[in-house]
Amino acid sequence: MHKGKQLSQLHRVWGMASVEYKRWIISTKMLLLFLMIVYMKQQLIEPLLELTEKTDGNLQLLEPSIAFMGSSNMMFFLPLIYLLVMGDFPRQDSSLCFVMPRVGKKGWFIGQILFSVGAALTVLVGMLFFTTLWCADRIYWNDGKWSDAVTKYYQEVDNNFKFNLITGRIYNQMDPTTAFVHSFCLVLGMLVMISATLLLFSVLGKKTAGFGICGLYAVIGNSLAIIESKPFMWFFPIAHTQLRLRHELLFDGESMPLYGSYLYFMVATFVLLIGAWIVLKKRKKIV
Amino acid sequence: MKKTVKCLFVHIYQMLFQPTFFLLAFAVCLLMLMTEVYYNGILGEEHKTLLELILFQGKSWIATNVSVSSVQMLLLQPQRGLADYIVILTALPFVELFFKERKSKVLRSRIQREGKVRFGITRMIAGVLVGGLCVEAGTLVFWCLISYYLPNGMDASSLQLELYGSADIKEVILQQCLKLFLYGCIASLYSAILAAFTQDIYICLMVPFLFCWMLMILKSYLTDLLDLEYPNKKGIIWDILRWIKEYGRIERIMEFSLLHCFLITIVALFFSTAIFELRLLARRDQGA
Repeated sequence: MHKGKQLSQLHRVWGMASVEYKRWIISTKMLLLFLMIVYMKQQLIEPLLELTEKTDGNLQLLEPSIAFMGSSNMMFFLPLIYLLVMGDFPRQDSSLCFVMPRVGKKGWFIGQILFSVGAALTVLVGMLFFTTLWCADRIYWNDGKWSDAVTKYYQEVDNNFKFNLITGRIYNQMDPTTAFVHSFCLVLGMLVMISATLLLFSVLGKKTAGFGICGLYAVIGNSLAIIESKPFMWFFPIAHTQLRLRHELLFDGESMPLYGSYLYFMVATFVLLIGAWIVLKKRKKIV
Repeated sequence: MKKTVKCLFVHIYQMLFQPTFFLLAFAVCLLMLMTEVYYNGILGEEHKTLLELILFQGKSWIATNVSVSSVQMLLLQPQRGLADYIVILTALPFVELFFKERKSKVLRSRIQREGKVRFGITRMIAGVLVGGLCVEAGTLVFWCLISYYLPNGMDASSLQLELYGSADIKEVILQQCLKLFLYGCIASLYSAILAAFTQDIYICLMVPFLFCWMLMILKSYLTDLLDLEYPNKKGIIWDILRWIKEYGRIERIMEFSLLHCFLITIVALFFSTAIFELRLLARRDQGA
């Protein structure tokens, strides 16, 4: 494409990220996402559809996605599946000694960050797409308001944990579009933070430790979020992705402001990436 | 013969004493705990998973509100959660070891040392037995937990006892445990056979899983199609569809008697070992 010309740094970074992405998206590892899809069908879609059948109603377009991102069950498995799918991130095989001199350390690093954001977006959007697809025959826009299936049924009739997907702590506090946008950004932030952790520990040469720490994010963070152990749960990323944890059922006010969560993800990711960059810059041995 | 038995024990030992096996047994137990329990709540009949009740309600609450016995709960297995993931859970010790050896080139020297035929037979039998043991270990932990939490530990309705062909409760429990073991053995066969054909661990694990899941979806679709829309249709294709609807899932094995279960497992093991062996003999690179 640019034969005879020197590629600009931007092109190199973009090329690096796109090659990594293409390699990742066509790898058989992506089959692991079906584990999540099957689990999601059982634990999320079936209760949601059961709910709509009981109320003889429909779901708002964004509700399945909000339920997915608001479910502690799903937010326990999503990081774990993401970890499995991103297992060898950043790829440091024998080809790295040829790639690094071409793109440079900086280009490689920024390329990996771009790739991780793309990967996180793909996983999240893919999951939300399947969530919506499973409920396709029962969704409608409803003028951007919550459906009866969510607001009328679960609180009054059945206090089942399974139906505890979109609680009054969400629908009494905001409309579906706001809930969707915030949930999406925060879950994406969590996935990028996991990638940044993997990147840091990988350049430190302790990939297994990175895996373990990300696993701990999911296990401890989710356990604390389930029992709503304040303020400890706010130290872990999972609690920040759950909108319901910051609101009360009826009263106004937030136990953790939304900007606090955004700030948490930004600062954490920034610190991890800066750490990774410093280590990478000092490192002499490439592979 | 002595060498074959020794090889078999070595294979079993290698698969059994690794962290994966214990994690998988834990996962089996966890999936069994996802069984839903019905009880009389404030709003009439309510249902929650066993895990939820144990975690959030505690023993005294369960003792007063839940009437289902631990034996009944054991007889209900395998439920949806376990049935969906069993193919991966039981095959993982076999597949993990096989691919690890293949990657590190140990497989080549091992096959040369043991001989292709002996290696194929012992590895397959060991993999299947470990798959069964994985379910059995999970069941034992599950049984201990529910015996502690659920009331009327040794009560089961006479109807269920009749289904198991015995009035002796201990015999029924033993039969169920053995059936679950054989169920685990059968479930591990899919990936074990595929391991001889593919070099990709994800394909090896996920293709059987997706196949079983598709069968499950197909079964619910076929139930509507055959029972409601075309109940009187005849012909080979309709017969095949009816057969898939009836026997298309592995957990159907639990509905047979123990003897039939055992015979089905032996036949399935024989054929899968033959396929594995033939594939191994046909490969010149000896799996490495």
